[in-house]
Amino acid sequence: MPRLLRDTLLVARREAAALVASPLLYVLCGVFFLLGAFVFLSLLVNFSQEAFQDRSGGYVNVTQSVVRQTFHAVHFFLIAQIPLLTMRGFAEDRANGMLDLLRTTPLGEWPLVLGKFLGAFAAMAFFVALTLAFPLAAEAVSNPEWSVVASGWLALLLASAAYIAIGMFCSALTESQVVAAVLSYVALLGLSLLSALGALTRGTAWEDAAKHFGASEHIEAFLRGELAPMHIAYFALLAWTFLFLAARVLESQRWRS
Amino acid sequence: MRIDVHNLVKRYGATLSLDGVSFAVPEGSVVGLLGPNGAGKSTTIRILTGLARPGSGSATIGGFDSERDHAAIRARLGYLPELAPTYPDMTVEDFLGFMAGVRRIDGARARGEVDRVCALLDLGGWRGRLLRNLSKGTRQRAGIAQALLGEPSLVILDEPTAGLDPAQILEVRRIVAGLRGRATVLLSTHQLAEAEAVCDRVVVLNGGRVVLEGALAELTAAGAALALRYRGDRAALARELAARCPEVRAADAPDGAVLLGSDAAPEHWRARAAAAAVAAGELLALEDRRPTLESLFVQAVAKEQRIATPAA
Repeated sequence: MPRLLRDTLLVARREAAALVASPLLYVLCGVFFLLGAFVFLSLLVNFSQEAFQDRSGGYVNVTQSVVRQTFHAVHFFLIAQIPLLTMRGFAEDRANGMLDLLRTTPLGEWPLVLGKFLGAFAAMAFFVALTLAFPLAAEAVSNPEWSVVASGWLALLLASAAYIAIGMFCSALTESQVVAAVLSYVALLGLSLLSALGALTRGTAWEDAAKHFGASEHIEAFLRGELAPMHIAYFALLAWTFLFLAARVLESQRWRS
Repeated sequence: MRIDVHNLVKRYGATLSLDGVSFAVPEGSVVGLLGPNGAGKSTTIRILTGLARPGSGSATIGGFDSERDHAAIRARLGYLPELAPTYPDMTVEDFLGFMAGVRRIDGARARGEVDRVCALLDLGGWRGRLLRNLSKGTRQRAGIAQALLGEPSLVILDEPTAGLDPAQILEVRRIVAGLRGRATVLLSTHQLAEAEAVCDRVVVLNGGRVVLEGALAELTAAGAALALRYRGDRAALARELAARCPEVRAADAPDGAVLLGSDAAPEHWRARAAAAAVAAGELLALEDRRPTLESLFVQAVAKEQRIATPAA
């Protein structure tokens, strides 16, 4: 096994084990699922009433009215939860001295960054997997479009990866977990609201740029069932860029001290 | 691995942390890095471990440059930082297994190494316990254990006995002394008795400069003196000493004895000093008095402070 992969998996296992041992994971998981379930059930009840009364003129669609809206809400829950999951990343290791200790071993910065990323991503993938319950429940009352469900899941997984990378980068910048979480919230909210902010400059190049750089347009495309490579590449590039920056920050900190 | 430090200078903002530090650590020896707080010990260690870059000067470890070849150094280094960082959510066994992994020790060898260091540090009864639930002393021993995984050829220990009880301190000293010849050990400590007990050599830093360096045996021999107890006139003794052994300096010790010292070893002037005492009065006793590391340390640091603040 190549060294990078071996070292990355070693750190990822340790991170995943630390998360599993942490009460925070269970609290976040419970809140995530309960909020998701609340939104889903509210939408499902509303959908059932509309379908029963046929107020929509026969055009009610469980995928559009329930599944897609639930995924939208889950996407915002990700933004709310990921900074809490990633804030400990490097900040905690730096505060307790483990980061310095690991830097004196043959372990490089990249396995450390990738391992911590994979550990957090495994936890978020588990959270996202829980949302499988929602379209399965929708199946009991109607027929959701599984292609849209699949692309919605992919969107949540890709967005999780990108947002975790941003959280890791913020955690690499500071010794304080609180500061790391606040920086992550600012970055993730900024990314999500970029399209809306761009719309304020309607008709200008800024609007187009904000649309492309903001996350909302890409999420929206996935939730419409569009699996265009551009949208996949957007999140993949975002994740890679911030993991790269996190590794560079750690490298530069070594030589700044 | 031999350590050679040449003229290290390190500045943090306006503070000069290291001001031309040079010393050598022979391969296989146990060397104590001593000094008061803020002397530059931690900065020196951070440069040697690749955690900081020197402003100027260089440090080579086994021929590897600490700045350029840090990967080669890290592969051979066992390091215990001050306060022994650990992962509190891990058991002792998992933590040591993880540290063996990051030190590229795999499979059966890793398990063997964890067994070995657990036995060495008497951690057998704690292997399955979470580190957060252990006493400071036991966590410290786990920290020392991780530094010894894989039998590194260079071991740097920063305050290894902090938080240990007296029995554990003696045990750790025995373990460190046992590394002599098998690894080069650099031991940063505030405990002079610890350095005296286990070190072959010492490097004393003060204000970012080396104020004392050398083999302990040579340093104490060079400062060797005789304590003279006699009955008689002090002025007469001074006259007799000046006449019979002019190279000898005399000073009154707090315990009433007269301390006699010289650049030459005492065996060269002991008989003449005794004759001077007999001539000046009645000789009661003439005892060897070797300086302790503590007295050498205090002298070196005080001398440096006098030089730094001549008006004081």
